[in-house]
Amino acid sequence: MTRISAGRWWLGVLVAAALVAALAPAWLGDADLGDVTVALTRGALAAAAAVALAVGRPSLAVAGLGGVAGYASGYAAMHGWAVPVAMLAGIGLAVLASLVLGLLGARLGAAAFVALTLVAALAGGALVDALPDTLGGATGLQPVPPFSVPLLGGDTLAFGPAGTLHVALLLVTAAVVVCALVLLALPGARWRAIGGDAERSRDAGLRPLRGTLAALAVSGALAGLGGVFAVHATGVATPSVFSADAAVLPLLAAMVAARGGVAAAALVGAGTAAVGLRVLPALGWTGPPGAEALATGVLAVVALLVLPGLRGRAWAVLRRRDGDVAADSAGDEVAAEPGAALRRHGGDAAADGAGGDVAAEPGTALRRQGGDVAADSTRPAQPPGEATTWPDIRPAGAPAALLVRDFAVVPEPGAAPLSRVDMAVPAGTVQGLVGPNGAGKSTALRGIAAHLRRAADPSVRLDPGGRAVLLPQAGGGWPSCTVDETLRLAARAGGLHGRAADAAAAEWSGALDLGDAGGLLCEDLAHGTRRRVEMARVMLLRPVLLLCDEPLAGLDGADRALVLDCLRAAAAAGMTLVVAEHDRASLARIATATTELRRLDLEPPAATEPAPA
Amino acid sequence: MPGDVDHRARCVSGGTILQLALDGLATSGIYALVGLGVQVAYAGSRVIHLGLGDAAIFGAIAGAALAEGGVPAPLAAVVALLVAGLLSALMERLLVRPAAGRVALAAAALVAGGTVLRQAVSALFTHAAYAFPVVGGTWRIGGGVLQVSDAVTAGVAVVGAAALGVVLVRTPLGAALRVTAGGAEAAESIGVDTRRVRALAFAAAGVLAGLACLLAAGRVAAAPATGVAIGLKGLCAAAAAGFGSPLLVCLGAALIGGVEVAATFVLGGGGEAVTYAVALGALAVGWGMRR
Repeated sequence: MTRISAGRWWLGVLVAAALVAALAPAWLGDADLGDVTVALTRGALAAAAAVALAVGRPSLAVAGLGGVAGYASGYAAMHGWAVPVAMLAGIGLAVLASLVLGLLGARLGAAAFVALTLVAALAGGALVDALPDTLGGATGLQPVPPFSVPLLGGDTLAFGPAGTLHVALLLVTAAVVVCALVLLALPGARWRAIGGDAERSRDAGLRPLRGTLAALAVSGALAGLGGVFAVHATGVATPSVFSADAAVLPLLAAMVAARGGVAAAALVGAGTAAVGLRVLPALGWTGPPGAEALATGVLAVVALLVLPGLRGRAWAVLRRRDGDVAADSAGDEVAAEPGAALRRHGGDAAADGAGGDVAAEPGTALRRQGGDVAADSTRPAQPPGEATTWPDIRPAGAPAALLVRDFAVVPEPGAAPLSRVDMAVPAGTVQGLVGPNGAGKSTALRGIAAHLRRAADPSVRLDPGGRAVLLPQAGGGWPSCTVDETLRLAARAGGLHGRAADAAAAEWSGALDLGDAGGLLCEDLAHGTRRRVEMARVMLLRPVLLLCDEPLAGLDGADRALVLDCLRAAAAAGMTLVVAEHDRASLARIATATTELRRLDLEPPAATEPAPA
Repeated sequence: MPGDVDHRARCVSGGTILQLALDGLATSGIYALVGLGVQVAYAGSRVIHLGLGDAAIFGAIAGAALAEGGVPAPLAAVVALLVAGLLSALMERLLVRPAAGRVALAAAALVAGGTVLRQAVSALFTHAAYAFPVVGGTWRIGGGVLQVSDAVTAGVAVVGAAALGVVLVRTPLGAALRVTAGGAEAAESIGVDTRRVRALAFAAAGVLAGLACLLAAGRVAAAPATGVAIGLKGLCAAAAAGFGSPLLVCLGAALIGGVEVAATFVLGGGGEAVTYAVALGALAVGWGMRR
């Protein structure tokens, strides 16, 4: 069960729920229909939060964006604008406000963005409070004209509560379905890649800011759609939409929906709102807390109960049911009978979890790293003497030499250097980088990549230039994307297009034995598989310089041989490589020369030596 | 949170400037205390305590209600601080710990928890607003009216901030907090009980913010919704400082408090929107620069 298949399943549920809701006028009165429409608009807000969440921007301002759209649309309609035009103007304003928030929070992490958006929502409330009463002020903007459409000849087609509900239902469902489909497709995969790992996305040239703003524009439009219908259905725009109370429901719904994506978020949001607006009051709940606050509080409890254990428990159960089993969570116990498959996709069996107990068939290779255990029982080691045929591995540019002169390795600006690096790496060769823990190997690679990206320092130069890519020490692929999506995105980032990009992705998938894992999310993969995905990803980017941070860490014999062969082939094709590695023996098999980093606080400066023959 | 300023009088005398300065100092002191509370909670958990204002105002209103009911003010203040600290620690236990390191989820849960707290305080304490009795009186200097309560607020805030600084630098708890802030795994490897530290950090945050809300209730009667505003402006003060040193947090609070007093003096009701705009910018720039 991946995010993709879950999302498609929820789309069907959403459409079915919309059809049922369309029958509401048959048994509800006009006053009740207003509440149903408002609940529906809360679903749109939750969907908007889910889109923003997908791109790594958890937002508490979604209800406020809806409020901006509602106030603008209501005010314009009250002053003679045709309602649809006023609605469009309101939605446009919400998009604009969403983009401003995106730019304001461009340099912030997810948690900081949550805080920023809550402050922004309350700022909107303060602004509305300061408006004179004729503009809505603290008392709200009313009476806002109901939804209507101007006809040719000067007539107007007015909609009652049932008609408004049906139009809102049609438009909101259509918008949510379109957004969900976009998120499931390659453009959405790009957003999920940015949301899952912005650093890798930036390094791959996915332009995280542009992608983030595009997603936030869509999120703003969805929020605006919800906001304008809420105002025209109820006839009033109130400042309460800018409160902390209103802010939290959409984000919680999006979080609870998790892998169900946009469609599930819309359903959870609308359902929770319906419980608060209709169900609890009908059951006689008068509070405190108020019915809506209680429903939101219950949703928060559900989120806290379900989400942290999601990967380890609920989803593992689903995967087992699919015959595709994994248990990834601290504290999970997985006891497999000899011969039982722990996870099988293309022959990979794995159970990842600190504290997890794993019993595997005799003869299977167990890989263990930092509490993670993976059993790889069926992927055979490559027979000796049989070389892998690699796809086109040539870099997208002229071979380039890397020159690093007296480069200070600093963990953060202003800090004392851990070590200094001096090396000249000829084009198409492999330079080893070794040294004790704490010498700054990873920091050096990150620093070199950053300096080349910014062209900020003459002490680090790539001659004649080209793309430098970092293969990070941890993870592999974009966590929220499937393996196939990761490779297809990387191929496009590497300069290929359309079918050529898909073909290259398929070739690398085959070369690194990833074919059967293609539909799985990278975050669900076993360590070895994930590292193979990462190797394929960086090769598809076709860099002229590849900076590898411990590419062999945690790999078994077969995977080590595969990775070493791949790196050797890349160098032979003209790629320049710097490989930081603890395993000196393996490094010696591919490195032309080796630079040893020495901690400045312990030893004399670095020296470059030719590799032993 | 500006005190009583006559917006009809636009004659800005030296005394008025002095009055505004003291008002700004007191307002800044309140935000500084909350900001320091947010910072302490953040250092212990990497979670932004978005429910801090609601926990704090619960305690402050409870204390003010007790004082109104005849309980001696010092005793009511102690109860207020204990309630605020306890509620904040409970929020850590019930909303932050179960989130298991998902900081965005924890932040959203804290907002939801704050909503429930806010409704609970409205139900338990039925007055629209509660005032906490502090030393009253005014000084008239030039054309300005200096409130004694403002001076008390500013003084208590300075003492509170200094006490926190001493705790952070000189005590084992402060050392444990600093080690935990550097990385929970590393802290645990040297024997620090990070769960306990996190709970204590949230409790300390609640006490600091409770003190701030109590002082605020001594200047202007506090309503349940006041807590969100005070909490978020304090958060912005801490974020503007990039969650750096306590002194930087105080400077961030001075920026936000100063702008609030000046903007309210000039614009009246519109001052709040200007303050939020500045707070928003301070959060985005200050925290963004930290990355």
